[in-house]
Amino acid sequence: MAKSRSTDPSPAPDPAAAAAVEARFNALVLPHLDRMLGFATRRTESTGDAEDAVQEACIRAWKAFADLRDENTARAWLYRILRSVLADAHEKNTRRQALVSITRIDDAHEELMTRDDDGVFSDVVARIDGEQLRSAFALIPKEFAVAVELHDIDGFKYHEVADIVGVPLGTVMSRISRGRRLLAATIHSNRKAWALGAPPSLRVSKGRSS
Amino acid sequence: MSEIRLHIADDDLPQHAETREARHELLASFLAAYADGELPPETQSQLDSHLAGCARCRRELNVHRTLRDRLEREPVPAAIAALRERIAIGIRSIPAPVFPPKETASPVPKRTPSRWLVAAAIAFFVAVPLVGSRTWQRFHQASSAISVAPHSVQLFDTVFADYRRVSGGDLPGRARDLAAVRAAVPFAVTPLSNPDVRLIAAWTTTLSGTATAVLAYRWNERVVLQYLIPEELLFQSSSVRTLLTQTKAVAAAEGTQNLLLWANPESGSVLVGDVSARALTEMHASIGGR
Repeated sequence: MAKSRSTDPSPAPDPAAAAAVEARFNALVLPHLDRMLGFATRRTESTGDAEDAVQEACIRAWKAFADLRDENTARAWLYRILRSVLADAHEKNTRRQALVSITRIDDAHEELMTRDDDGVFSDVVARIDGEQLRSAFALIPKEFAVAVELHDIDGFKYHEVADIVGVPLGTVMSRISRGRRLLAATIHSNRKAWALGAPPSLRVSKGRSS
Repeated sequence: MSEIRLHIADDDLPQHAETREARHELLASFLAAYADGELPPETQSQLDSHLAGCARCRRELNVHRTLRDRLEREPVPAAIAALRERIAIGIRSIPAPVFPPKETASPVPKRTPSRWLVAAAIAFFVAVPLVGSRTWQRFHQASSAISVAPHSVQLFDTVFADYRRVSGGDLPGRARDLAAVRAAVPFAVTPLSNPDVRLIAAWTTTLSGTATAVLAYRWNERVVLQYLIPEELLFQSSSVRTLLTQTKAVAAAEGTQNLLLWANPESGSVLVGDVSARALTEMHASIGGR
């Protein structure tokens, strides 16, 4: 029985149309590769794993390109796919450092908030490097880390973070707020171990540790 | 309505120490959104006033800004040419996706601007009288439920009144009382099943002379009550009967409180709380809109 054209699952390819689709896809996706790679790098063990995740995300995005209804949301759509790839292939295998007890982090946050010297924390943050930041993120619960990274590093608005992560907007607000508090407290409590500077009295007596 | 207004900023109210502390904690939870410019102007102004007199919040705001500014400067790694080439080869090995013909009417709902969504998320505890405002109308347009005036349905008045009575004091039951609650009403009492929602209390009450089960949930650090009412009370009102033929859920608002009603197989559910209409809709949707 002959199939009708409308139900044919594999219509004859039109090279010109296919090239146009590929050009459109490239224009939407390629500008975001670097940031996607950065996001994947923070969630995987090696650059190679991160590149594999980004490549797989792009392939999945290509296969699902017809499902992207609003090209203005392409970046958030790509991150949703990337998060799915990472969840499937990498995040389960990634060795996260043991999370610091939330109570301990809260205590550190309280200490940070009750200090008289506002400049110390700014000074500490000014010295922190990318690797230490990554360590700090690894010490706080993942859902808080992801929300803060998507907003602060990758530049998504709150409603876009909600879209990517799949939680209500109020949850995003709460996770970013709590995530930054936890991150600040983690950095504060590790400042000496990471040689990020300490209160002046400590710096004088102990100097920089290696 | 004093129970509600105690949770919001109102300089006319007595500022007891506990109330001030609660208000401080609530406003402090918005500091990140304040630093990020994600709050509607009304709330932004409230934070401005609070910050003028609160050194701790100013310090915390400074921490948010310091961290955000540092993270914004985090260098972005460059995807090497080999990766780009691998991706290009990968997609060329797969046939180009076929796009369906464009429909004449766009089925894609317009995204609600983020500011309005933020307002929806925080509406319940900031002193923004939203009823009647454009913001409020936007919430209801975004909801799939039909919204009605609270006084148009007596059941809603009754639920709001009981909710205010209960939320003004300690919750009357505990989660472990669920078995007793189930035994007290002639219909199934099944708590909402959602990983983000936790049952914290259960008790029975009487609405319009009818035994009703009440379940209290903790959801996103808020407490939402679910009144499970027998179907004879649900369908007593002709307004409700008519509405439920047109929609799966009916919403109503009174001040900062919202409720959402829907029919279960042998009962009715009314979710009510000092949360936005959108939050209730999301909560209902998260359990499959049942």
